[in-house]
Amino acid sequence: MLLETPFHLRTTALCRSRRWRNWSGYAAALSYEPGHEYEYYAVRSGAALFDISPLRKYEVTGADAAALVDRLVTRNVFCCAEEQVLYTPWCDEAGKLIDDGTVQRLGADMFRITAADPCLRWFQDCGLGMDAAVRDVTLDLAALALQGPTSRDILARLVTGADIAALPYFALAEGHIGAAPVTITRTGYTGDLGYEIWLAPEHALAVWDALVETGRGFGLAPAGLDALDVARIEAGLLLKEVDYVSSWTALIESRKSSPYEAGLGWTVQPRPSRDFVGQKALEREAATPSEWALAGLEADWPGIEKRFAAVGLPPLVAGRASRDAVPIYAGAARQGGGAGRQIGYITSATFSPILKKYIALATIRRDFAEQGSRIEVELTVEFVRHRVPARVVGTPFFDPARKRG
Amino acid sequence: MARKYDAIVIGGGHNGLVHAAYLARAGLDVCVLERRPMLGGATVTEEIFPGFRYSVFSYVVSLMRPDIIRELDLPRHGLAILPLESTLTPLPDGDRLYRDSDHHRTWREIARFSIRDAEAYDEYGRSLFYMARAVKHLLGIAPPDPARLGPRDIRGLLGLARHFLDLEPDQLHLLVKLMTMSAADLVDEWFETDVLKATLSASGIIGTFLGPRSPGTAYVLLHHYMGEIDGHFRAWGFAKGGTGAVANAIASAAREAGAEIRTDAPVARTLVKNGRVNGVALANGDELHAKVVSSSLDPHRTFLDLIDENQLPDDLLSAVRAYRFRGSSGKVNLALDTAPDFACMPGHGPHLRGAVSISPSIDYLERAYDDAKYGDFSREPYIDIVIPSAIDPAMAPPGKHVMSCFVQYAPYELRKGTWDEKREAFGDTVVDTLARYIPNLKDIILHRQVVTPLDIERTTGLTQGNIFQGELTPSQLFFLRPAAGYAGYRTPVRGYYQCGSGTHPGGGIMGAPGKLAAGRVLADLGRRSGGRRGR
Amino acid sequence: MKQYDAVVVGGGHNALVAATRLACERWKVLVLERRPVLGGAASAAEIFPGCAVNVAAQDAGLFPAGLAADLDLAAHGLEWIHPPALATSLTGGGEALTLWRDPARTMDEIARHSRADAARFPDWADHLRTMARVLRVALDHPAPTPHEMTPRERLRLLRPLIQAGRLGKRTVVELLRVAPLPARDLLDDWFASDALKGMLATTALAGSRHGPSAMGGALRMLYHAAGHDPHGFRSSAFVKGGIGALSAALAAAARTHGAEVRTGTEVERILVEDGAATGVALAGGEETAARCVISGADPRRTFFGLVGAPRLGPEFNRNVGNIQLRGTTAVLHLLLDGLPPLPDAAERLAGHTLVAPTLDYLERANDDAKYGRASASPHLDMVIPTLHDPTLAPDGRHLASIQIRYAPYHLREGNWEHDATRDALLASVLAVLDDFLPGMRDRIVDYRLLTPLELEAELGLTGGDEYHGQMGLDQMLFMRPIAGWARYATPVEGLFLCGSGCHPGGGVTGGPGRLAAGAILRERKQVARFTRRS
Repeated sequence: MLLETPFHLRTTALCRSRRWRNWSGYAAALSYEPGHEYEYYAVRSGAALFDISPLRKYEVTGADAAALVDRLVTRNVFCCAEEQVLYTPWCDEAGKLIDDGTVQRLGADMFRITAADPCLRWFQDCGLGMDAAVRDVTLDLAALALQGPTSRDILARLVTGADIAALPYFALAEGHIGAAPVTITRTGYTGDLGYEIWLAPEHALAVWDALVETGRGFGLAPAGLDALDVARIEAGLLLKEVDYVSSWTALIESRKSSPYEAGLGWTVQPRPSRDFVGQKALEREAATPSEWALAGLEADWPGIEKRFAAVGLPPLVAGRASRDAVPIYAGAARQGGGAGRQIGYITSATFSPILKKYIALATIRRDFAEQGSRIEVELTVEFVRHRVPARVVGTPFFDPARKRG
Repeated sequence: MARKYDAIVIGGGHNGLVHAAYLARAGLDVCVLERRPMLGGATVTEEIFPGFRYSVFSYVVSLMRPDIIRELDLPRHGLAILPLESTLTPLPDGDRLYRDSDHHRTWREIARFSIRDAEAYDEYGRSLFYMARAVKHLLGIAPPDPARLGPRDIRGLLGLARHFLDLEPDQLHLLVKLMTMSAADLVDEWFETDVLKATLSASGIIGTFLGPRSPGTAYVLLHHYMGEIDGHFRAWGFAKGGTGAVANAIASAAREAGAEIRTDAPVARTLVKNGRVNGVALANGDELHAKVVSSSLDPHRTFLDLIDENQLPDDLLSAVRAYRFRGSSGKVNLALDTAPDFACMPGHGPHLRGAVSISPSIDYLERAYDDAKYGDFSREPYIDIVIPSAIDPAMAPPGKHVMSCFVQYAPYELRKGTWDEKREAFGDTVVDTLARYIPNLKDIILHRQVVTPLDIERTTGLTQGNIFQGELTPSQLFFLRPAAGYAGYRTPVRGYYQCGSGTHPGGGIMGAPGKLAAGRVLADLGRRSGGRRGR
Repeated sequence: MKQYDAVVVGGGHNALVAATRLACERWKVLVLERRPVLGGAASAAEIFPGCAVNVAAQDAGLFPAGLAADLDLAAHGLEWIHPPALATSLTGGGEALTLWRDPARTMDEIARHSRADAARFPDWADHLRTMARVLRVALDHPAPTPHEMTPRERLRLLRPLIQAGRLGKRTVVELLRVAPLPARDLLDDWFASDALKGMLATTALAGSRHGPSAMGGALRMLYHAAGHDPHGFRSSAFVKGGIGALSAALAAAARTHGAEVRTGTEVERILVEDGAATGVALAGGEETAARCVISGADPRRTFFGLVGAPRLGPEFNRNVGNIQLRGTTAVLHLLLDGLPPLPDAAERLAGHTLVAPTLDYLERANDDAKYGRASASPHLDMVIPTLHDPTLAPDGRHLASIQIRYAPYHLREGNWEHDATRDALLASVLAVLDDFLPGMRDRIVDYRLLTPLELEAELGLTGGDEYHGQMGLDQMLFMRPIAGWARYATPVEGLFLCGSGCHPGGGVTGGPGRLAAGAILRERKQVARFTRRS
């Protein structure tokens, strides 16, 4: 039996598609309408409202709270000012990814961490001997993401007690929506201008109604996970258990990834005279890099078209994002041997409606990972596997100035 | 009249039948001799009460080796295993712990008690997956003998060393802990919730005369986790038609391969001539001759009852006498007029299709053991319940149910009184204990069968009623099962073999001893196993 | 600031053995002991005026004579005492069963209970001796740690294997069979007499929370028989001047080789920089630098107390947290004005005096501990050291020290800080003495009860566990103190362990100290070679 989030009364009334999926044990709408295109375009041209309550949320408090969070994650938390938010992964002692999420610094000695999956025991055990308490506040906090170019205008009209218009990228503010106290963070999983709103569950429906009401004139649409998946791939953002496997669920060593292998090397911030969990292993890896890397791929559109045309079809690749692993091969023209051999696999792929390109996130051998590198990806047309050319490009694929501005 | 066979198998339990099937498939002329009118030994289904079919003794399946199922093509011979999906542990206060295959639901259920435990539960499951994977290798090899140290033994030991060194250090260390710790201490390393710890460690006491806090019980826990169904470790299920259907499927496979199977044919003794086996004498005086005789009975029967002690060396005899059986469990099989109504989960529900474990706390199990330690059955026993009719409707008339209750502790040796005097008191204790969790139970019982360890011994021949043909403790495992120097399925009498659960890898409906012993027999005969007899 | 090659934290007997060994190699060693006397659990204190009372450990029978000779302890005043009586079990009603070092006397004694048992006893004594000798081989060598060994080190493993093999392949296999057995099963295979079985099972209880029916007891029986000749029961040897004299001899040996030994100096913290130990900080704030730090404290105290969990990895910390430190023993020290009125008391009570009349008695005592209670009728192990060294107490007075089992550190109800809990324990001990040694109570002039909580506070034993970690199959050899860290090194570079929490284990054995010193020397030689090369 799936649980209902605090917004369920509203989402279930709106979900005409009856398409739900299990997100951490909660029913989460895949799309509200039978197709997700409208919801996707809301992200890029209006505002999309996502119910993200199933995220796990933890609160860290105490004199050593900063020291504990700093020990947990790969990024340097002492550089995180109050009212600032960090995106960061965290690793086990072997330097392999466990999970990723945001760290909100609510005060000098108070943090909130979001995670995809339960981490309480790990956080608490890492804090052994420290003056810091970790509490699971998942059920105490409902959460919404309001993402899209008009999200600022909507929130600025609604939120009292905080200057939304002036809220910088990855900052947080406390204020009210109506009578409900809310925390607003300028964060999101779409790579667009956007905010996440954290509030007590008892205010959930009132805040939802206020957003929908005010958003009406700003193209606001409730949106589901299908639209989110397309948007996050365009933004080059990783999904746990899809683009990397957590070291806790990987049954074999080769399934695990380090931050370097997952394109998160920039989050590894060694700091003087302090250790974070996994630091030693990551130092070793920095010295002798792994042979795996994450890369953004762009498939050659004419190549796709040609394969479909050969059987008399138009290129049927638009639609929902794919989470199926797809093999990648060294290009047939590769110099120096190894042509045609498998060199990695696509983890997430989608047709990007805004870029009009077929894009993918992939785990690939490091010597093929530099931008511009030409490779081939598998494409199945009418039950026959083909290879079409593709090239490695930088991520994010889509990166509008309004995201930061 | 003496009929001559290539091989005679004493005992038509599942191991004896597996053994016979493999020998027959290799082209031997095989005869299985079963004392009872039905096959299966402790793996039987009987209609004790009209319309109600009981798996009288063993009641769930998991350990049956997939290679045996595949090679003997048992599904074609009628084997179907239906999965057990959940475990319910009712608590005296009306609460419960209910775990099923819905990962998030189980997470939330455990998190009601402790979020930390809910998280640790996944990690625990993964660790035991590694352990099952690590020991899977051992289930398929005959143990080498470190006391003999012949070339084959040295090769075997080196192979083992390599196998274990190939494990990740963490995994090797956990394996050592499993081999040496108590179940309670082991689960203590992961969890803080008493009811969860108790239910998990309960697997560690089954068939064993030890409390959950005694070292050695973690291994028994592992033994229950090394089964696999369709590639999933740790999965348990029912055999459609009861566990007797397992025996019947194997028997059918053996017959198809050409084995002759006789019931109502108790063997009185194994015949030995000039230091080598010559056949068997039946209780009715008939003699059957064969150059190979394999006993699937327990070591006590194989060495002390069936054969003249003069044929055996002293070290084997004293080792077999020191070998520990100590039956510690009984069964109560109930025929019910309607479904049992659990106070903690009223009404019909998926929990009826799973196992129900009466194990509210570690102390509860430990106290149950204390009673047995001083020679009495537990006043409040550990009970493992399944309701086969909830999954397989053919087990009871429509709307009615059979409920199988495995009960521990019931020590074979009572300090006061006998089991014949105490049988019904034992049954009452079990029903009283259950009624605390199932308020309607006493009103719906149509028939009750109480199986004491003495009854297990009398009916199946298992010495002291031990369900594993000897305790699964480190002193009686691998190259020490049943005795150092005699763990390779051979015996000191040429042509006389052991193929029961009293040999490596031990008890449960696994079939591995029967198959491994067949491999030994065929190798000694210079034959290759697996070849089909020409027709 | 003075720079030492090694600072040794704690002045227990293992720490002193390690210090002496290193000093012999011309290391500059400093030993720091918090208490005013050396020896830790193997020390004496003036608990009663004018008396030298062995605070915790009484018996040094597991300290190998070879090690004593190596360290030349005789020259520093060590003198062994092996009283003719090994142990006397009080069986109720003023009756007693004594095991003597003289096998013939023992047989006579046992014959009073069971002729068959008496006849089997010499075989048993042989069997125990042989098994213990095989085990000894394992205890004398570093634990095999296959994953961390170089191929050459793995080859070196063959040496103990061959050594053990020489004692008989069958014996080795038999040891594998016997070691996991419960004491009850092993003894039931040999004997019929309840009194004899109860007595012999007592060594299976020491160092664990488990009772006689729990598996692994036989291993502890063998462990406690692996020192001086066990004579069918246990290795037992007393030290002239009390157990503290052994520690004093060790300290003298250390000083002779140039080690500096300071008492009354408490180490508050082990200094760690960049993951390496650099020295220690003393309670007063003073810091002492050293190339390596060697801790004789138990592993949990070392890692959580002295290093600090935040300096160690979370997965390692989980393992440290999971070490079974399970104090189950309280100690009652008595000052007596004479011996209890038992026939031949002076002779019979010169060894260990036991209250362990039957296996079931021990079992029930253990049952209480299982549920977090002190035993209503505890098992007692008493030593009267004044019988072999009258100088320990003023004229006409005797000392008796009683190990009380079970007094679990963690009580479900009550608290060792409450007088009522202490009084209840004392009352149950006195009641047991009234039953088994009538008249003893009248001889008591003064007493001092040390609960597990006080043993922890006084001797720094986490959880009151005098073995620094339960002696079970799961915490021995390469599983001791923590699987993967059985080579005395720790995740902190330059920090080593040398206490009873390490292989081979607890008791006055000197083994951990000796093997730790060997491991440290080898490791540092490698480090030196490596630095020279780079």
